[in-house]
Amino acid sequence: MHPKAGEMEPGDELRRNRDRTPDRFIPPSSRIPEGSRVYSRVLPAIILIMGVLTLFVILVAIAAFIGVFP
Amino acid sequence: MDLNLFLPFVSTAVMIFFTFSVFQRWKTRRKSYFLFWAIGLGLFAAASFAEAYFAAVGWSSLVFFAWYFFGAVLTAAWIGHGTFLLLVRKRWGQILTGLLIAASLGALVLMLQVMPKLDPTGFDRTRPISEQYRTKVIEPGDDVRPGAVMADAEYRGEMVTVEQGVLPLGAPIRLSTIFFNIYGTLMLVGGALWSAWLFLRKKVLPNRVLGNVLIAAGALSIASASTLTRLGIGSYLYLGELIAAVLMYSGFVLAARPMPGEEPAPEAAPAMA
Repeated sequence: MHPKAGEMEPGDELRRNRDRTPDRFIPPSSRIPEGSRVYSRVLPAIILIMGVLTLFVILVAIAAFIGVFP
Repeated sequence: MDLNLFLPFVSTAVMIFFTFSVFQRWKTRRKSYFLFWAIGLGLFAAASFAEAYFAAVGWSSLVFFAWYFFGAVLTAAWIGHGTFLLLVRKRWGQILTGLLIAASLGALVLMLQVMPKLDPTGFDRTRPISEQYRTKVIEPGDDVRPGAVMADAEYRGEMVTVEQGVLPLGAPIRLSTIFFNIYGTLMLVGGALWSAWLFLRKKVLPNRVLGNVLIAAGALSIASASTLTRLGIGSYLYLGELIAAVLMYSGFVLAARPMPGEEPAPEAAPAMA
């Protein structure tokens, strides 16, 4: 019932693909510390706010283009 | 010299270092996104230099070409396209690259057409070029800047009073800037924020999370200053450019820096996205 040497078990393909990702180059020291408020709360909020601001700037630019040109 | 007019000198210096750093990466890795970033940043540096030239020396049609075509038209789109190439499949990248190059050539034709019609009569080198490049229609009750050159012009079949700027009223090249800049802003800011979010979600490489946030903040700074300029408030453009140059370069350096003990990953793009 056990796979022979060289045969793959379920999940092997997944593991092999995962090992090809850049994660394999990342030692634990390069991981974001668990429980950090900066990385779990503050930065996501900043990213969200900047995303909204970007859309706002683009909308204002379009409005200015339509209304102000020439 | 007004402090505002000194800012482009600093921006130019920062952007030259930045362009050189990214170009070196392209020479090492030969990835197309590095090339587009390097070209876009080089265009940014050229536009900043043009502003410094206007402040230090005075008017030049050729320098205005560099300022408007490289800075106002192309820069954002070419930098943003580098980010697009980093994030999407190669096929889409090739299609959009073709479109970007074709659109840039089209804009070049429009720019060359407007060059003989430039009017530097009212140009004043003690004021930022971003406050004096456009000709605007003056409606009754509008504030007019002291010393502004006023004229009557025909526009869309009507005679209107205008505050004379360098570009003629209704110049088609101005129509193109909105498309290039929206594409560039969406790709550069959106791409950097998206990359930061991905690293954050995977809980890896905090330097790239912060680096991408800085890059996005820098790009947002110049996008905001450009939008204000479009609204007729051009006095913040130089400051926005300097903030963008410093933040984006800092973000690039931070994101590209290997973490302690980290092996260099073959595809480790400095997340200018």
